[in-house]
Amino acid sequence: MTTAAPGTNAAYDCLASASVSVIRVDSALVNQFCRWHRELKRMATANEGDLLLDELVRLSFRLWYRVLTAPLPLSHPILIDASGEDLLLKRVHAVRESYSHLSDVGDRYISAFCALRSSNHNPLWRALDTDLARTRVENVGLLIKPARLAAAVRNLATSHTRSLEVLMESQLRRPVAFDSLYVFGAGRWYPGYVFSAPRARVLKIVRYGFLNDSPPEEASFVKTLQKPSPPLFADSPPHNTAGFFWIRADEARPALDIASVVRRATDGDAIGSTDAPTELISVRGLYLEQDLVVFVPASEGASELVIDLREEAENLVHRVTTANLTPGMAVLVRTAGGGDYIAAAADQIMDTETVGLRGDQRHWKGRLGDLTHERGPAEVVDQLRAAGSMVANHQNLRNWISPRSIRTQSKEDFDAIFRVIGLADDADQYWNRMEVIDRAHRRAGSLIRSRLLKQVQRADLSPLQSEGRQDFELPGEVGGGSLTAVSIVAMSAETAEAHPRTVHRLFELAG
Amino acid sequence: MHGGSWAAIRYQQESKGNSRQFINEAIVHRVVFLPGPHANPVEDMVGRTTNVQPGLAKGFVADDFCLRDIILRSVPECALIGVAKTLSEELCGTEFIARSNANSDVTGRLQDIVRAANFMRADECFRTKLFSIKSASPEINEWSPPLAVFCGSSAYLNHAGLFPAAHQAALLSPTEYDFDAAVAALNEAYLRKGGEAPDIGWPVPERVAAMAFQRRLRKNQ
Repeated sequence: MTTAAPGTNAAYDCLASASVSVIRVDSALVNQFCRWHRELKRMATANEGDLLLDELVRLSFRLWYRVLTAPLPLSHPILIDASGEDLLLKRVHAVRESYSHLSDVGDRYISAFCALRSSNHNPLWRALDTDLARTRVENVGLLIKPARLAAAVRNLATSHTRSLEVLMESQLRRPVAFDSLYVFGAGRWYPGYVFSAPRARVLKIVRYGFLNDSPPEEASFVKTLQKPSPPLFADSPPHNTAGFFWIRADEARPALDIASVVRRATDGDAIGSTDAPTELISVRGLYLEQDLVVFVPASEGASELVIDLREEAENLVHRVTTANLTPGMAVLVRTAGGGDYIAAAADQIMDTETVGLRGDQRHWKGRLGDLTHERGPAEVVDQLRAAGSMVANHQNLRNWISPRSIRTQSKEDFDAIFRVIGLADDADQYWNRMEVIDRAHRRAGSLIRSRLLKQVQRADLSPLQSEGRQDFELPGEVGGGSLTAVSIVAMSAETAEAHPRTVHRLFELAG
Repeated sequence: MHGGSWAAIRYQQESKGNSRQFINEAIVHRVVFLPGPHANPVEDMVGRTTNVQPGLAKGFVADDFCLRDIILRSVPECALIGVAKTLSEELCGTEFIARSNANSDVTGRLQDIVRAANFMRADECFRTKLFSIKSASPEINEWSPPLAVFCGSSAYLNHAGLFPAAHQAALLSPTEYDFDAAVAALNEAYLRKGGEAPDIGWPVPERVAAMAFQRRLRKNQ
């Protein structure tokens, strides 16, 4: 049978008896830093489009959010590392030099920043420590955001006399149960189930008193049979406004903005500009556990290799079209070894032929891309249609030029392209060589799936189940490197145009 | 489902013409699950029971004859649609204690009530058939159970069209990835039916949101 029942029953018990309280923490040090960060943000808003101010605010925002949520010493390098700190201060100085009217704000920001970073303590941790000293509970969970800080908080927790388990919100999807669960930061920053399906009988939100918090939003029925239960904790005004200014919790939460992540992902590539427009491909953003984002091709028929823990063992690893990806599946991303893992494995299979075949692939795509750049996509589409292509359009043209595609679906379209790019006589030869690449890709996909399936079937998948992320090593015969499986939380409704190199790479949301 | 409570419901069907049926009555029976490490005394616990097939819970509160009937006769009355692994864990792993009419306690596992064929020996009788949300068993089209229970948001979102002639129950948990979408789908279905909630006459456990509405039932094709 199974051992799940005790956890399930305990989780039910929590639902019946849970209570939520708030431990409000005051800190002039943190409040001052927040104040001057917000002043910079206000300046950036007033000077919309100013890249210098935008970058400064983005750098500062990450620190701001981490400081507001993490119970780590304020000088801890995970909050901002030495190079980040250096860059941030350089940007502040640059702003001061560029805008004389911002010099006072810049000075005050630097002063607040330095005071913050000189502290080896953390007010949130101190509040936790004090509260724990008053209770005798043993089974204690600490819920933190963002996930990137988890390891550092775990290290800190091991030094505590009590046994403290550091958790991320995804772990609370499982039927775990704690005596007490301390939730760091604003309640609004967490999904509703943290409070509506509580995993502890006692939940305590540990947050700064100047954060104006309220329960997170959650889907609800339009008409319930019984009177709706009151929220487990109510809206709360800042508890001590004397000498402090307050911050709305929503203001400090990273926003899910696909366009912004695309912009960052492409390192300043001008998305949508007229420069080399044909290199952009249509992508969909997948929001992943641990505050990560990955872009996957949104073209028709595009598919991803996923681990689906809901499946039986023999089908744990399989391909799913982008349109059919669903939350809970874990998408696979190559995190070491670089690039597209299927292409890398295909290159391994093609062995000595790789250089020549890939060269041919780049050659015809390059000619088509150059032609499109020179004459514009509309004219090239017209030419392709006149040359016999039945499906030439802007999107297909873009796909054909993309280095991620190998050849056209039909030989007629391929021939049309080769007529238009002036290589009509070579079309058959190129078609056959692209077939070799295509076969290698198919074989690579199949090999990776089978090798990965073996690993997944043997592996202890609890990290993927509990933390939403797990690494797997690929054997050398399929290109080597490591694959990371990360669970999908949500898909972006809209698509974006992005450079192919942004696809299948993990990006952090701000924070 | 994780984070939710359970209710044992006995549905009474009422025929209205040849092809339409409406939920007429649902009677809840309390089954209190065995306490976990932090549980309150059994008497104080919120009744947590499970959606089971019509008439089945009767066995625990009625006479031995009904109980024998359950154990000795296979009457597939309920389709349970969900993630096979989760259903297996919950059915086979969740223990309960129920108070019978004779005021004696009956203990067992959820599977003892649900009696899903998948976890019974060949010589044991069953009352429920399980369907994985991934399966596409041809049997689905040939069988018309009185009740279909969708365990989980995915099950409801992807398979609500199955068993159109059955009364349906959807069990959702906010911990599920597609909880919001399932709630939205149910809200839409509720509003399409005119936004009227029938009084089903059974208590809903505290902190568990429940919505009910009448569906126009269709016979299987």
